[in-house]
Amino acid sequence: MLQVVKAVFKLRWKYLTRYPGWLIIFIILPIVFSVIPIVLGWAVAGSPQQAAINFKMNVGTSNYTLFMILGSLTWLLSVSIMWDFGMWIREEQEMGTLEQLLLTPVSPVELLVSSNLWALFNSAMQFLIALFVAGILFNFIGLLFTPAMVLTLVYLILGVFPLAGFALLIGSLILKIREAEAILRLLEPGIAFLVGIFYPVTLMPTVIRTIALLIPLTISLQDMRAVLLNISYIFNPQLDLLILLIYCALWPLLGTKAFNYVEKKAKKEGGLGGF
Amino acid sequence: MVFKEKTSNIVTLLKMSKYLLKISLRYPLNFIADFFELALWVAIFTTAMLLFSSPETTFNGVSPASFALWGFVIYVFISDVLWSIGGGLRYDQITGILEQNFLAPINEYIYPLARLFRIYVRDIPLILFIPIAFWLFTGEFIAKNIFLSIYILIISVLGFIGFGYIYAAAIIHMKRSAIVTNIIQFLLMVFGAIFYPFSALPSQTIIISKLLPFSYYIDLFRATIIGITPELISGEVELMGFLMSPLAAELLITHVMTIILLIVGLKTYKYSIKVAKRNGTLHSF
Repeated sequence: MLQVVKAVFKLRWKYLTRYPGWLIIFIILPIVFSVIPIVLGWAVAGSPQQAAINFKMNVGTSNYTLFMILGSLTWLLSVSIMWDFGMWIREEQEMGTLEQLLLTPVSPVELLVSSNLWALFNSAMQFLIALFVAGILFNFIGLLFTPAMVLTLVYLILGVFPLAGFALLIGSLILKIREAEAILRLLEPGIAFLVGIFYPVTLMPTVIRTIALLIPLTISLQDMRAVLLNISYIFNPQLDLLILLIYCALWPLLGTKAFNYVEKKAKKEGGLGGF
Repeated sequence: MVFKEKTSNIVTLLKMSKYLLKISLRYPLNFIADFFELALWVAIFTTAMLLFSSPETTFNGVSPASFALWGFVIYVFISDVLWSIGGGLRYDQITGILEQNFLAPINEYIYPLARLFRIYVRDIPLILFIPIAFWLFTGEFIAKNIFLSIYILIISVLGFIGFGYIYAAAIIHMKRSAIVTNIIQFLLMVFGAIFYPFSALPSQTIIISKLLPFSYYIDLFRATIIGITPELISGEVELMGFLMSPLAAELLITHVMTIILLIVGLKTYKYSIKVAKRNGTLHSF
């Protein structure tokens, strides 16, 4: 298993360094993405000062830059994991190597876990680098060197880990439907809308909020904001942690089951290579 | 003879568009995704905007939501040209059909142009849908000077196509379409003031906006359809003894820019293919 993980990491690292521009994009993207609602906010409020006052009234904190940055970073993290894994399957399919890959004497589960681990590692690194760059740019770097940051990282890890299962579920959907791009394009804004990248999820109607809570990142993001910005938690810190821990077991289990089922069926029907 | 050649080019363009449309219809979820994706982004940005809201804020008597709406409409066209041409060429390169396509006995200019079928097939229903989505979320809708606005949109799309050819030339050599497309889109989102008025940007960054050719297309189209004075050129401009209003000045700038972009685009594109064919690099990625 360790050998497979090492080989996959080596391969993906080679891909990553072949296109280093992507690294820069992943650092710049969440910052640019957060700038849009911030400038929009200035436009709506009339000035940055008034924007802070209005934002505090509605959300409970005047630090809207950190609020937005955390949102877009967390969203990008989920997108990155989904694309990294989902598009990996699709690209292998398009290049005609997926079937060969799944027929190698390595267990598909090992391959998937390794690929998923890479996606998690890569995305988490991007998250942290971008957060520090944004901290320097928007002058909240001091907040990132407080004890609260440790708890923030705990919430982040607990929110990211179940995403591996989520990515597996999407991977199986891609094997089945083959419209990877469309699925991911629908999921990107769908997740952004549900987890509340630019607004607290507590503002949403009950039905949407309930659906949103099924996504681990919703809890993770709101609680990270709660820790760093002193706003409200989803329920309370202990209960939120418990739910996240349950998700850590539940989502990967669901994802593996779904992927195994679809892969077995595709191998039987011989439809793995087609796109 | 020339007429016959032109007609045959149009027929080839239509055939290629039909072929590409057929491939894209194989994936109907993509079309559905276009609409849901937009509606969700509108909802996200509108909700974010409301968190900063104070009802009395307007720009030239117009709410920021109208700027976001029409900025978004023109952005759909810019984004489509970039992704269709850049992404399309790259896709063909990866799937290994780019070289064969360029070796086929067809006019090489048609190849990227056919990829723009999305503009006529998908974008027209989409630009009808965006205002409805905005109106549902914000309750606002302003559309003035419709014919002039459509004319400006056509001139803008021609300019974008010219840029698309330059971009295609660059992609054939750089082979980094997604990264370059993203960088251009970031620049536009921030300095092109897609989602907000130019006046909302800090004063020291306006110079960057003025240096981006796309900013003038965005500003002119948006100002015309909202019915306000363009923001990038605020006062009257004197040219060879003639005084021009800001609207006329921006109209002149966009027309000149479209002509330049088309000429430069076609030339660089032709040159890049010639070089790639000579060096045998069309297929490599």
